[in-house]
Amino acid sequence: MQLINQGAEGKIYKTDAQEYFDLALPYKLIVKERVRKRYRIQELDKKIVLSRTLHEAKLLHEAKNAGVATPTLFFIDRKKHALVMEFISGERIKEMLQKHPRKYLHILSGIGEMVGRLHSHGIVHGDLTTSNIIIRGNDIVFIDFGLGEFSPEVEKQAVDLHLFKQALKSTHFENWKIYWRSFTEAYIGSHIKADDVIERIKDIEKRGRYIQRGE
Amino acid sequence: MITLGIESTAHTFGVGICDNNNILSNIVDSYGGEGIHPRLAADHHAIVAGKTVSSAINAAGIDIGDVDLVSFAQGPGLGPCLRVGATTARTLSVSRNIPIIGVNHCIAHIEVGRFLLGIKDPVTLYVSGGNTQILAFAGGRYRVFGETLDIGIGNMQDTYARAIGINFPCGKIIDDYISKGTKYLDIPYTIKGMDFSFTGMLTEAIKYAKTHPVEDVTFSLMETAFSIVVEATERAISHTQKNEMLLVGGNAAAPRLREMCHIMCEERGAEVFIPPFDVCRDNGAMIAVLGMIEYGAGRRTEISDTKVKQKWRTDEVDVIWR
Ligand SMILES: Nc1ncnc2c1ncn2[C@@H]1O[C@H](COP(=O)(O)OP(=O)(O)OP(=O)(O)O)[C@@H](O)[C@H]1O
Repeated sequence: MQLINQGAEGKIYKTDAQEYFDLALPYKLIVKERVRKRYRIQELDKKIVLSRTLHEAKLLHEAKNAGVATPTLFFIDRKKHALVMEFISGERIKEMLQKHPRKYLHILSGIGEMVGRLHSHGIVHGDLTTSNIIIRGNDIVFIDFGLGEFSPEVEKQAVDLHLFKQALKSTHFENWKIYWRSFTEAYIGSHIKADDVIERIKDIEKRGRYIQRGE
Repeated sequence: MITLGIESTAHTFGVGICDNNNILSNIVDSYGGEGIHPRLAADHHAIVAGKTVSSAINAAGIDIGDVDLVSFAQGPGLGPCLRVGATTARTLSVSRNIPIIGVNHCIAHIEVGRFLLGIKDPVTLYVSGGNTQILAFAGGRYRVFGETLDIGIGNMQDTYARAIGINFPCGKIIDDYISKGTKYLDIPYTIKGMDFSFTGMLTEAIKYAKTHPVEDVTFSLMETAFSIVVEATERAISHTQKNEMLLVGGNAAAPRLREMCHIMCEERGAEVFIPPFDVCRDNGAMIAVLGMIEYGAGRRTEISDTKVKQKWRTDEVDVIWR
């Protein structure tokens, strides 16, 4: 197995069916193994790591039912807190936008439509960033659902979009406004509650700073 | 060049003085009431302003005539409190005929750390009553990578302390309970990307406190809150591929939070920096340092542009000095 990414949460290995399952199948695989965090006490850490692994597995599957592309899940290794899934051969939208800032507005629309589909099905991704979306040919593939949840609530869906907006602002600061516009226009077209969700973002942006008592 | 800095964004009124290389003095006077009552805190600031300026000048061993520049925290913060600092700064500027400069409070927390500790390019975790944010420099500005979706961690801690009957200030007692708690109770762990929220866990902890030992509840609550902010910081470090972390703000004093930051950074091969507490909390010296740096880089504030900015975001400031 080849370590290809050491993210904040864990290690991502690339392998294939032959090596991992000893099966002569032509599949390239990703093994996502969540690692223990020593700064957290053990009880809390165990709870978090296991629940995120199982959650991610469930949501990867549910997203497909919503008509959104995700890596196919092959195996859950509860002992190692690892998910074994299809390797998506493509490029992350983050790098694509960094290389060609104006070329992929249609993909941002595509992303907006897909997030609208997820929300319509009551799926909140929980970590929408441009690192978590891989473009494979014409497919927009979503990964990293470990912080996601099932929720039809306007508030939770608005937080989901707020995160994406913030990710655009901090990572693609030069063009975030046009990206956000392309994204939201398409989102509105694919989710009935879109207007309420977008309206709620404004409230969220007002919070978080200087909540006062007394006056 | 000698710069005098004035901090008054929340319940602390502070005046600090620096020259090009050192902090010469740093005097704070905090409004002692529970929570933050903006008007009462502002009244307090107005009363202590003159006295705090004099103490800072005396402690620095200089004369008021030696001050070349007056810097003040223009935002973000509570309007009534900010206005006391702004007025004090304007008065000094006009009466002494020296330039004035308004600076961003959150950025001052970062820049004083860089000034004192020789840090180059950190991911900053800023934890205080009103603010809980993760900031990093990218594309000429300090971008907000993560932040609280509801209240600051300090605000959460104070509210909890009040609910279980601990008097203000509560920091020491809370830290003591954290170290004595042994049983971890199930507390909601809410993190969304690099954002997080504290009200859910606050409600749950207050409920637990009715039936469980207060040490265990406090330990569980704060262990959860600290884990969340450290996790979000680790994500920001991983995403930005930086290898330094800076911990600042009034809540940076918490020993368990410091310990977690050390362990997290050690595991990532990153380095953690924590300034001494008197420049970590809200204080005037950091405002002086940032004013001096910005002035040195060519920024000028006209007296007509010294209106306070309650909601001033860090990413609205062009960082012309880096
Ligand atoms: N199924 C996959 N196919 C191809 N690449 C993948 C796949 N899963 C993950 N990756 C790569 O590994 C990176 C990290 O994966 P993921 O986001 O799931 O892990 P993480 O630990 O949550 O990372 P982070 O902390 O950066 O969010 C992705 O950005 C992507 O480049």
